[in-house]
Amino acid sequence: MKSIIKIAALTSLLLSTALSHSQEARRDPLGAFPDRSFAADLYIQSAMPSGDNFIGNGLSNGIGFGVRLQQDVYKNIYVGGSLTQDFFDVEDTQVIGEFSKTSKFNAYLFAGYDYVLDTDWNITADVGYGYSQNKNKQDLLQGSGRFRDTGNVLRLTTSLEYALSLGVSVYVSPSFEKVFYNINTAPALGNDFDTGNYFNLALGFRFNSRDYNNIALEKSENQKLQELQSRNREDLSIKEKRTLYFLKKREAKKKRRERRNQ
Amino acid sequence: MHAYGTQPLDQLGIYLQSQPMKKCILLLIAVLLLSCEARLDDDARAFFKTRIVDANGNPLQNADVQVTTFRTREFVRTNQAIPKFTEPDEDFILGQGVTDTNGEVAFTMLFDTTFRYYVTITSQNGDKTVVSAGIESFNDNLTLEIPLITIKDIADVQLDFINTSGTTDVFNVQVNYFALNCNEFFENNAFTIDEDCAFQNEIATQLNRAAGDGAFEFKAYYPSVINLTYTNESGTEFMEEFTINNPTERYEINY
Repeated sequence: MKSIIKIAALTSLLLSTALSHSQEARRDPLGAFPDRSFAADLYIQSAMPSGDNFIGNGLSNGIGFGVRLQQDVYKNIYVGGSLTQDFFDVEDTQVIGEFSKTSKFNAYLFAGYDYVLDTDWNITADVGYGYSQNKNKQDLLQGSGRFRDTGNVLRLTTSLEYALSLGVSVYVSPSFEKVFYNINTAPALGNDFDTGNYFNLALGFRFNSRDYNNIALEKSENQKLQELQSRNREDLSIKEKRTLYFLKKREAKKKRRERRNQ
Repeated sequence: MHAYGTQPLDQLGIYLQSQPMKKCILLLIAVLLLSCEARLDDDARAFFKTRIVDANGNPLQNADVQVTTFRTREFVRTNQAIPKFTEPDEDFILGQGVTDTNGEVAFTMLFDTTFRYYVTITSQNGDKTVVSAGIESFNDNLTLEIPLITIKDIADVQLDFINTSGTTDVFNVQVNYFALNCNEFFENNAFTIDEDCAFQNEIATQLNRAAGDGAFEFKAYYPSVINLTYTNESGTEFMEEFTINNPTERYEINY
């Protein structure tokens, strides 16, 4: 329960932050749209166990949260890492074993592709592989025992993302996990404990860092820079000052790049 | 002035008795107790299977069957040494199920590497029977299969020693039987009386010291066996075995 309250509080905080940013332009003042270079995600998700195995038949639907960090490595291809935590109640102890609750922790690396539909919408898809652990708990009447089921997770994650601003976007993310568990079982139990499937539906916020280096100044922009620089700063409007700031920043980066390449 | 490390123990003792230190120690104990986790085996699922019949061989239907594991209340250096305040044989439920019309029950179990497991059978009228087994009964494949468990009834047993030879010797008598406080122990596909009962289920006394001291009455599970040993003053030992198959049994032993 405490975790759910924490998730709700965090979500509210993120939502208010995002809405405050939503007033910003979704493009920079020059109208350019820089590529995303790095992103950090925070999300909550509903996790639905599925399949004819001890997970699908033994656990009820759960709720959880996660964090992802991703870095663009080449064009729109990205790699990253993620941590997730989900909470489930046991639905059928005859199938899964004599305990009442489980919390699933995943830590995995992923690689994927970020497809830019337009300046507002993105679609991402990635595949990840890593460590998974179910921490199982008995209730008081069962003896309060604790034990773990561990394995490796293969996760396919997609997301549909809407940009609230250049820095913040909101997204929905359906994903599918297949966990290959390392559980030793009695022969009579067959392969019921070999794998477990989860379908997740996440809602989250993505905080983006964008790459301005890739946007070269065009001639007209150079002219604008010179024009703005020639004017008295006190006479510039806020919008013009902002434009000047970005033009100077871009020009400085351009010169640094040129110096490096010499 | 003493450096902290060279402070005399009595001074340290006085310091420990101060109120803030007491609170710190109590807090530390509370944290340690709360942080203790009773661990069952990770990454393991076992399987239990048996068939249960009553003393007449009829299948026992709708009986609750629980398999539990043993823990101690003491701290020792094993992963089983978590202090708890329940009865040892009710400590952790590894699995449970209900018998079908044929008296059969099978279920998935959690696993706990320990030396004793308890199968508690609760019939519809509330009677409980406990059968125990060791880890060797899992046969290294996480399967505890007890082919047949017979729920025993309780018999009133009477043993009468009658002096027909006229001897004046005083005999030492020992009677071993399946007492009500004992469990059956499943080992090598057979049942024995739990060795924990070895000192409790026997009558050890002297016979022929006074008139009428040869009559013994007790309750025992049946079907079961009574082992009787009596020794005369010259050290000659006599051994006899009796079976209990009925709700009331009476045997006469002539000496």
